[in-house]
Amino acid sequence: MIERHTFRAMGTDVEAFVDGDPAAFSLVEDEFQRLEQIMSRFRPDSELSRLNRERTLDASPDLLRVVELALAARERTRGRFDPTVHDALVAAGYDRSFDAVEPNAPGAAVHTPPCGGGVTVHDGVIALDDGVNLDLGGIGKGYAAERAAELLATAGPCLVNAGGDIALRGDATWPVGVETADGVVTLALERGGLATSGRDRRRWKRGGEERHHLVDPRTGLPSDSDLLRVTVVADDAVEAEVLAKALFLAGSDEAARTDAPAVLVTECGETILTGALR
Amino acid sequence: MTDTRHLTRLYVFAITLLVFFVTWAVVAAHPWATKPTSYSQAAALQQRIQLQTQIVRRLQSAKPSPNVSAAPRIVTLPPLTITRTS
Repeated sequence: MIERHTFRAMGTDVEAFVDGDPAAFSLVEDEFQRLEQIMSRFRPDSELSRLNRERTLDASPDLLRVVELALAARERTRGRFDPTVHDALVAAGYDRSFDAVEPNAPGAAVHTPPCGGGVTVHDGVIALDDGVNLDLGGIGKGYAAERAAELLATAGPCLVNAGGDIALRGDATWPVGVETADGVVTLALERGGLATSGRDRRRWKRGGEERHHLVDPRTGLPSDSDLLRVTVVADDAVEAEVLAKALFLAGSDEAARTDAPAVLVTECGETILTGALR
Repeated sequence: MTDTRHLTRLYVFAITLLVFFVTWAVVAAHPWATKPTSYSQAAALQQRIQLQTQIVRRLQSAKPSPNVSAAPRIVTLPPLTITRTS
C-alpha cells in the first residue's frame, strides 16, 4: 500500500510517497531540514550565507556537491542556468523568504548586477570572486528531493515531490500530473526525475511592474520569455530542474525543438509537447 | 653359402622395416588434407566470435543504461501527485 506524507520545507510544500514502511518519512523530513540549513540564502546562519559573507569557505560535502553541480550546469547551458543570480534576485525584490516578500510595493527600476562571476572549487574550498554571491534556489530543491528519495528508498519504491521537483526510486510506475494550458495531463514515470519552472506563481510587483524569480543571467532581469511554465523529464530531479530553467529562458521557439521530454505552456495559452511526449 | 643366405635375410628384414616406417610416416602426415583443416578451424572460430558478439550486443541493448531515463508516456490514469511551479 502506498503511504503519503506532506510537510513544508525550503519555502515550499513537500510531498512524499512510499510503497513501504511510513516510518521512513521522518528520514525525508530530517534530510530536507538538514539541507535547508546548508543551502538557504534566507538563514543568516546557513552554510551558504557564511560563504556569501566570508567569500571563502571550507565547505561541507553537500554544499561542495551542489555548487559543483550548479557550475557544471552553468557551463552546460551556456550560462542560462547560473547560481550567481543572487544579487539580481535581491535587486528584483526577492530579498527574503518568498512567504515574506511584499506582493505589491512601490519600487524603483531594477538595478541589474552582473551575473556569471567567478566561483572556484578546489580541495574542498569554495571561493567567490569579488561581487559574486550564490543563490542555490534553482537547484537546491531538486538536489534535496534526490537525497531524500535515496533515504526513503530504503523502505520501498518511492517518489519525493519538492514543490514540483520530483525524484523517483525503485521499481514502480508513478502517474504524475502536469498542468497544461487547459487542464492536467498525466505522465507515467518509471525512473529519472521531473521538474517544473515557471513565472505563474513566484511573482510580485514593484512600482506596478510585475517581477518573478526566473532571472535571465544575461540581463540580470526577470526573464521576458514567452513561456509561462516548463516541465521537463530528465535523468534526475537536478538535471530536470536545470533543463526546465534553461528551456524557459530559451523561449518557446527554441524550447520546442528540444529532444528532452517536456511540456511547454506559453503565455498565449498554447501547450507544446516535446521529445518522447510528441 | 649359409652365410650368404643369412646376409640376404638381414637385408630383406632391414628393407621391410624401412618401408614400414616410411609408409607409417606418410600416412601419419595426412598429405591429402593439410591446409583446408586449418582454414576451416579459423572460419569456425570467427563464426563463434561473431555469434558471441551478437549475444553481448543483444544483452547490452536489453539492459537499460542507468543514465538514460525511461521515456515517459501520457496515460489516462488519475495523477498521484501534480507538479506545479514551485
